[in-house]
Amino acid sequence: MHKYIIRRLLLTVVVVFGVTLLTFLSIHMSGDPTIFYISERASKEERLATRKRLGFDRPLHVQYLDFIVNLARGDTGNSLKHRVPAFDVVMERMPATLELTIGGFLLSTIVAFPIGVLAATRRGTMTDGTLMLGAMLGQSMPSFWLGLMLILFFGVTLRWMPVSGHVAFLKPLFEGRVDEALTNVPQAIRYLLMPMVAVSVYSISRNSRLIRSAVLEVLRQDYVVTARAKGLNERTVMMRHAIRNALIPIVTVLALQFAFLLNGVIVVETVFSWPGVGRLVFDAVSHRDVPLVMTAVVLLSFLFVGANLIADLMYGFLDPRIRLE
Amino acid sequence: MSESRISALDRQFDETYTPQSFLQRATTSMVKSRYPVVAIIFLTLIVLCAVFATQLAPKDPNRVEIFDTLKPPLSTNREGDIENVLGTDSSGRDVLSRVIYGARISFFVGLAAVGLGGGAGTILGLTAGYFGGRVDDVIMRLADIQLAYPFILFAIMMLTILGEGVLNLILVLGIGQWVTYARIARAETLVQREREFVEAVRALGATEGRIMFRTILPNILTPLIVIASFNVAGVILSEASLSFLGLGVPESVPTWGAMLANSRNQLLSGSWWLAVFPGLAIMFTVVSLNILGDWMRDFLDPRLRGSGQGL
Repeated sequence: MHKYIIRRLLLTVVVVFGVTLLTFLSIHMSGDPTIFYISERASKEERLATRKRLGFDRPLHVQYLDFIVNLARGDTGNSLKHRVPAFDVVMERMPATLELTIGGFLLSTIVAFPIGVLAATRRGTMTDGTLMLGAMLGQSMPSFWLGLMLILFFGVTLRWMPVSGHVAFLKPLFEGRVDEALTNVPQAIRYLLMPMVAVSVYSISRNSRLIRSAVLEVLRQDYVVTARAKGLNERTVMMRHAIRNALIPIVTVLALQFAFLLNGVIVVETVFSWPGVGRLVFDAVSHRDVPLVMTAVVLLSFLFVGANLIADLMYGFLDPRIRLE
Repeated sequence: MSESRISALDRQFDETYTPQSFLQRATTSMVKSRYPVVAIIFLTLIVLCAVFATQLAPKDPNRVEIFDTLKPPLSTNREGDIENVLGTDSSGRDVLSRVIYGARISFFVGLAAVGLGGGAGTILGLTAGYFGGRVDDVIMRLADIQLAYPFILFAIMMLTILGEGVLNLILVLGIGQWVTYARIARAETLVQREREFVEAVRALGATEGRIMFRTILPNILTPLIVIASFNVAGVILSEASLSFLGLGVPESVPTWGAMLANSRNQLLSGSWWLAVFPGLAIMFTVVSLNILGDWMRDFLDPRLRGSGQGL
């Protein structure tokens, strides 16, 4: 087990390394990073001087190694656009993205579980059919379109919900201002609600279908038949025998979903003008802000890989029969 | 064995006495589960829209009418005729015509990207699984790196560098898909290459290439085809996301995603039709493909049911 964890961690390092290299090469392929940094009327000499000052005149491999060494020391360099450390710029926005991702993750788990179990226990009935049709539709609509529809219906027509904006919760919490975080909670949830639903609808649908299959699979097993044969009531069979065993594949899928949610978050942030990392990266790429793009990609891929790693490890913990080598 | 299982077996034996062709069995199974039939009909309609967009669209999708902007659906002109069934956008362009033309990009990009990614992924997975060792390591680590890269980020990077264009979009979306195929192809190849018939072909002196593509490939194709049908749906969704972000195809090409992006600014003034119709087009197309994929999975490869593949 320990061996496996160490191997996985090493692999994670290799993977993040690969991601940074890929990002680095592609952003440099897109052209001169200083093009938006100084005035477009700048002379050729000024441009060359700027490139030299910022270190972009050095060979690419030197620049890349430099980035890695600095990264290891915790220095990400200054953002070209914002002219402050790139790490600070990303961290300024990260809490909002995390709020949306974690919120979406919790919502999709909490909602999908009862739907999946209910559909499985009522297999073949109207309830099952309706729920699964709903899941099919939910899985087929673009998250950003659902966002637009929510804005249209609850924001514009009914005027129940704010159509955009954000009240911080995680940021004051991370910075130790617990009181402020707590007083912000009601407003934070109010602003979070619609983006959260938009982000999680795909996961809710997908998860409830997977949970349904997982429970049905377990219900076919011999030990469930045995449990029923010895006269246990249906409730005990479900709670103690079926669901507990169905949990193993479910938890893995849920953890993988966390990483997947990040993709949707980046798009949904645009719909709701959510001040998260997604929008930031988008702007940074079009401004060729090399340090900012690199920092954001490194941090996001760490999150991504981390979530997958946890999913893998949980698999082993939940089911002792699985030996991770 | 329970009574019901025995009778089920009996029925199976009975069925073998009335042999049916593959097409007959497919049709029967499809009609029995009803939804796939509806899905096929809808997809046929959409494909027809894509192919015959020039003939079917009532107007030129890019024609700007500055006096007819933001007309709601079914509103009449001075003569009392309905000119724009689904209304017009903020430049006075006909929404219905744009939705019809939008089917072109969605389908073309969806099929081409899956073709590209699926083809490349299958070949890479087959190679990794067949040769193993270092080749396997390199290909699979590449896959790990790709998986660690949030796809939207990757697409934003690549499309900013490559610039807009349908071919670039297909390339980026294709690269986003190969890992799924590579992993499945590899896993299946690992099983197949140990089987006797592969050994037999090898003993007959077949070359590596022949064993890989003529002997193993046909035997690992079924799960890949099932994945591909779901994947087209997924790629159409991704394409819509990228178009929504303003990446991908030039402004002049109508796409469902770009229409939704433009609708965002008109939403607060209550121009609901701009956001509703392109979204419904995406949703019905994707849901039809998913239903079809579900049915294909159950029909072709019931082992995959509940494995989470492709869903």
